[in-house]
Amino acid sequence: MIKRFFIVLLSLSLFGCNSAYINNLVATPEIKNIQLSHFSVQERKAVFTVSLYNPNPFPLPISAIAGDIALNNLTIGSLEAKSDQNLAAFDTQDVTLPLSLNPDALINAAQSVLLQGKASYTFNGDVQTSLGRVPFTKQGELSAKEVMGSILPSFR
Amino acid sequence: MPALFKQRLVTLPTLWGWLLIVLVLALSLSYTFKHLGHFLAKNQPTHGQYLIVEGWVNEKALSQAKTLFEHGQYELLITSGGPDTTQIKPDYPSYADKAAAFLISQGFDTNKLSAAPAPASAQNRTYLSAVKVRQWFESQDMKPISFDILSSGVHARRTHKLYQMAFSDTTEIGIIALEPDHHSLENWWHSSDGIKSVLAETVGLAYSYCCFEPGEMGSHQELWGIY
Repeated sequence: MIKRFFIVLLSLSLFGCNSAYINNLVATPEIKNIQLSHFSVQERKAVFTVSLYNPNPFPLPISAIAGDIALNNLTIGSLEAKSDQNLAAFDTQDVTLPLSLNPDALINAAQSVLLQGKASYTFNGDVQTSLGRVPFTKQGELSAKEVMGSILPSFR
Repeated sequence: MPALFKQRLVTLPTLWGWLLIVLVLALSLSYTFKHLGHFLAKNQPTHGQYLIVEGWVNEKALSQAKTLFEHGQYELLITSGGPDTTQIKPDYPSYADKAAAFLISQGFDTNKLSAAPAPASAQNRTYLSAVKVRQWFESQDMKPISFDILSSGVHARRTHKLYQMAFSDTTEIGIIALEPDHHSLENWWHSSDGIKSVLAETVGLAYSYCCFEPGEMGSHQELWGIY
C-alpha cells in the first residue's frame, strides 16, 4: 500500500515537473508601452495603442482584444473584439484598441468632472494570445476643460 | 599431364532474348525509380494512444500535427529530437523543445504535450531520439501499447524502422509521412532536393537493415554506439 502511494506520488511529481518544463519553453509577451493616441467625445471614441513585445522565436496569434475606460472611476466606454493579428517573432508591434464611448455614461462622467475639477482616466484591457491573456492598465489625466467643452458646448 | 581446360556448351540469350532481358530490367528499374518516393514516405498509422512528432519537421508540418492530434483520439503528443547543429546559437537546446514551444505558441494544450529531448550524438540520431522517447515513457512509468510517429516525406520509412528497433515487439508502432515541402513524391527526380533526399534516405534505410546494430536495450552501445 505504502509502495503504491509512493509510486502515485512520484508519477504526480514527474507530471508536475514535465508541465513546468513545457510551460517554461515559451515566454508571455511583454507590454512595452501604452498610449492614449486619440480621445474624442464628439466621435465618441478613445483609441489606445499598446506596444507588445513577443520574446519567442515564433509569431504569436492574437485571438481577441478587450478593454474599458473609466473617467473619474465611472466607466464610459469599452471594447471586446476578435482579432486575427499576429505578433511577429522577437519583435515589438503596436496593437490598436479603439473603444466606443457611451453618451449616457459620458454625461454622468461630466458631472463628476465638474464636481471634482479633474478628469482622471483609467484604462484596463487585455490581449488574448495563444499563450494566454496579457492584461494591462494605464492611468492618466485629460484636460477637464476640454472634456467639459466637448460634452457641454456651452461650457467652452 | 592432366588437362587444365575443357570446352563446355554455354547457353546464351539470342538477340531477342537479350532484348527481353533488357526490357524487363528497364521496366523493373523504372517502376522502382518512379515509386521510390512513395515507398520511402511510408504511411501506416495505427491511430494509437500517443502521437510522437519528430521535432525537426517544419512549422507547417507541426501545425498539421496539431490538427491531426485535435481531430484524432490521441491522448498525448510527444516531441522528439536532439540539438539543432545547423545553428551557432539556437533558440532551444533541442528540436524536441523547439517543436513543443512552437506547438504551445499555436495554442496547443500544454497538459497534452511533452518533450523528449535527445543529446547530441555521432551515431544514428533518429535511433537515439527513439530511445529517448522510450526512456521518457519508462520515466513516466507508462507502457505504450500503440503510438504513431509523425515524420516528413521520405524520412518516414527509416524512422519507422528505427523506432521498431528501439521499442519492444509488444508496442504497435504506426507511421505518418507528411507530404514534403520542396519536392513531390511522384516526381522526386525533378528537383535537386528530391534527388538528394531520396538517395540519402535509400542509403540510410539500406544501412539500417544491413549494418546498423544498436546493441542491447538499455546498454551503453544503444545510446552512444561503439567508439
